[in-house]
Amino acid sequence: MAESSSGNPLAAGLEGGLLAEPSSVVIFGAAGDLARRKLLPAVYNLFLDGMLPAGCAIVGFARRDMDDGSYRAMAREAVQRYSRRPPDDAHWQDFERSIFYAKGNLEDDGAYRSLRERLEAIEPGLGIPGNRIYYLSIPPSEIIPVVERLERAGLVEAMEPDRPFSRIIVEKPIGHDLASAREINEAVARVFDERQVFRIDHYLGKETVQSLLVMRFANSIFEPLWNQKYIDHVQITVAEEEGVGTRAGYYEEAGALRDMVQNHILQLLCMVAMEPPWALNADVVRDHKIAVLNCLRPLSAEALESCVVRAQYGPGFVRGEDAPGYRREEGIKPDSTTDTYVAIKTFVDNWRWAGVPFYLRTGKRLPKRASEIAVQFKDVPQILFNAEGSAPLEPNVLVLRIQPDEGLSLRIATKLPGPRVRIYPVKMDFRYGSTFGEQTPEAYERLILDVMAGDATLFMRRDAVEASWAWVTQILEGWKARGTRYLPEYPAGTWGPVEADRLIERDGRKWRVP
Amino acid sequence: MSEEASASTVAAIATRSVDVAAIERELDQLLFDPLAESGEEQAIGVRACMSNLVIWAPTRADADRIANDVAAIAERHPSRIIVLVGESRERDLAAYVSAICHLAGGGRQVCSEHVVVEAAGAATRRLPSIARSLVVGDLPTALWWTAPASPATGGDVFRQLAAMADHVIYDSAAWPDDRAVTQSAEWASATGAGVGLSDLAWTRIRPWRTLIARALDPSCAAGALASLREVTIEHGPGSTIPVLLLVGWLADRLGWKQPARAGASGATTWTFAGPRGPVRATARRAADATVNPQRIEVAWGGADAPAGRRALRALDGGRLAILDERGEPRRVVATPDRDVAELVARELPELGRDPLYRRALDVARSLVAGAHA
Repeated sequence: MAESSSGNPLAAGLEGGLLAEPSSVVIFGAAGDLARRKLLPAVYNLFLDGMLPAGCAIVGFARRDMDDGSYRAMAREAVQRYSRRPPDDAHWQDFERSIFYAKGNLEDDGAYRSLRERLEAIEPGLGIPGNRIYYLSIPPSEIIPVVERLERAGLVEAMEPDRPFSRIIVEKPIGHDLASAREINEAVARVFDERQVFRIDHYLGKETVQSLLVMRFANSIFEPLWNQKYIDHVQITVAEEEGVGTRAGYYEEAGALRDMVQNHILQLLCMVAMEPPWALNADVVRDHKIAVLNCLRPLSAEALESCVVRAQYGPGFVRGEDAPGYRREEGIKPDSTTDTYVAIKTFVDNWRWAGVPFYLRTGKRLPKRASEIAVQFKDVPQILFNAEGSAPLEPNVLVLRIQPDEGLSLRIATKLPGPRVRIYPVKMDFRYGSTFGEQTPEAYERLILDVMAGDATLFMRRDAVEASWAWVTQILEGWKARGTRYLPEYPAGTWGPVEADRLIERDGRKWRVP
Repeated sequence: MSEEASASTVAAIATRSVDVAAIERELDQLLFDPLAESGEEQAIGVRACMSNLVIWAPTRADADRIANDVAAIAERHPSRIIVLVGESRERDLAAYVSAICHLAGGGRQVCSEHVVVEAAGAATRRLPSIARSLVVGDLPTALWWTAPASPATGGDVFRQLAAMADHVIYDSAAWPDDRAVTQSAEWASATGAGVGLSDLAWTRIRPWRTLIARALDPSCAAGALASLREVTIEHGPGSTIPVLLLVGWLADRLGWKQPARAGASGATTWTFAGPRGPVRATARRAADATVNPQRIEVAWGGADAPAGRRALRALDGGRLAILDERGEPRRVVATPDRDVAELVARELPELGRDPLYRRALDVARSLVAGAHA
């Protein structure tokens, strides 16, 4: 009898051989933005696709005064508003039977005991053998007390064979610096084995990010070029069009460096720069990613001056509309020095990437929403078609678009039709949306399913979180030591401050327009 | 040929009757509007092509039946679609080209090229050569065999078309006789793993396979897989091939060998040698059943494993349920309601690379061989 990786020979060929196991998913912060915009729609879409296990309960836990009925109504409204597929009556009736609500205060031990009793009442009827997933959609300051209360209430099973599983999903940000991240990780580790912890970075669930490994390691043409011999530099951009919006409280404390660089951008960098893993299982892939983080060049005080730019948006126009400056946004201090833009030049100091700069940038109130990785190849020799030194040919660029309009493009030089030799850059473009013609599942759908199946490949391991915080914390400490003598400003609706342009132009390069 | 398009398809660019030799040239011109106001030709849409999809329709009625499916497939999996029809309304050989377009992101129209070639009488033999000249290089070529009979009975036309294909798609549920499983398994075995196979009947029972796998998973039915001793499948009218494939899959995955068949009125039972003793699989025609399968019951247990039972049933609205002890749905799961077009479109990117199907087909062949020996 051939076993699949899940120990169930019938699972082979179905959902990648890893079936989502019957489980209760308890959402802490069940009435919050993330739950309504992402989590509930994701679970509903999984249900529609027949991907949820036969035994499944979604249990919302929050302070708000609701019962099963009103939470189901809230869930339906959220699905109606945010899901890629709206609810239809026939399926919704089946789906909503899986939704429950447990009212409770995160600080109240009694609420956790009540939650346990509720789960014990619900699960037998749904064929759930006590498997539980706790989704912490809560601020980082709440993580430690919630984890400790889960344990005190007897809601956490040790990781042992033939026992129900307990898994925990932790949303970013995990801490606000290395020390606080370690503190959270320590507290979580006192209660959960690392194999039970799923630290989510939804960027890793996006199709393009997953396809990055496929592109690199399933095609023979890229990997031989994927090194310092042929690549001039890499640009990673995560641009947001909107301002701080309703997240002023969080963002004032976080800023762009913590909000985007520490997690999304460094994870993308790992995917671009990692060595070929020898297997696709979670630990092998994550071992190779952390090897990249360990090779990131430390930033000295001098490097901090020359290789890092932070800035804040001032008033301007976004798509022709007036946009206030950051300090005039609701909930923001008028003298705030929070960074809404960061540009960094860094290096991965290993054999493959020696001398290849990685330019990272992220910002709010940029001209458009765009996340991409651009790999620029070295120039062709300055002979033949590139002999005119004053007008060099445009180099080849491979761009992986992560959002919106996921896909990839390759810029190549071609001859314009006509009797003379005139070179013109053209873009070969692949778009997931138009090529594959079907809707791409949301990143959260894939990630929640992976947790149910126990596959941690697309989740961050503790050492990676701490390694990325260690690298980012040196920047934070440098900024703190230096004080905020001058914070560059960029008009809303532009691609960042002039200082960021200088950072890259000093190297004879320029920022791309995504 | 119907020019109707699916509801979500924005436009089917007008069908043009063309000379067979001019098909490629006409396709080149198809997406340009020569009457654009600027006086220069303008592209009407973006040509997209992930595969060549060669479709064999024995009659014009078959071609009409799948016309809407073709539009829906093009939307999900843009392709160069070449429909070969073994019957002509006009002359020995007639060809038509059109484009099937739909709106993609950014308001752009994404278009698939659509060629129909009809042949009558002896000209039918020329169809494979036309298809060969039209397939786009460097892309997978799939052959969708829409005839309601096993492709193994398709003779020289099928042999030639299959030879140019990387992937053959067919629907064994439409075959009139389950003995066709034998021929098909022999043909599949002869083709080797180089050609992918997609049987839509196998694709349709995937939700059942998933539910069975989940219902018997060690996490919720410890010991059930190893000690399974009885499976009863109730089915509706029509082909029993999906049931044979389901039993074949279970036998292959769970290591059941040497089926011995016993038939009674309306039911067939195979007794296998399982790893821990005999396993009985029964296929029974149920009077009230309307789908295939309608209900599945499994029982397990033995000297060293606790006994247990589980029943699964198809409900209306394309749902499946695990039943409680009273036979009432205890847990309902949605099963996406997929029509033929969606099944084909989902199979195209898979390229028919499912080794489990070939193995289930092999076991199914041995079940049928027992029946007709």
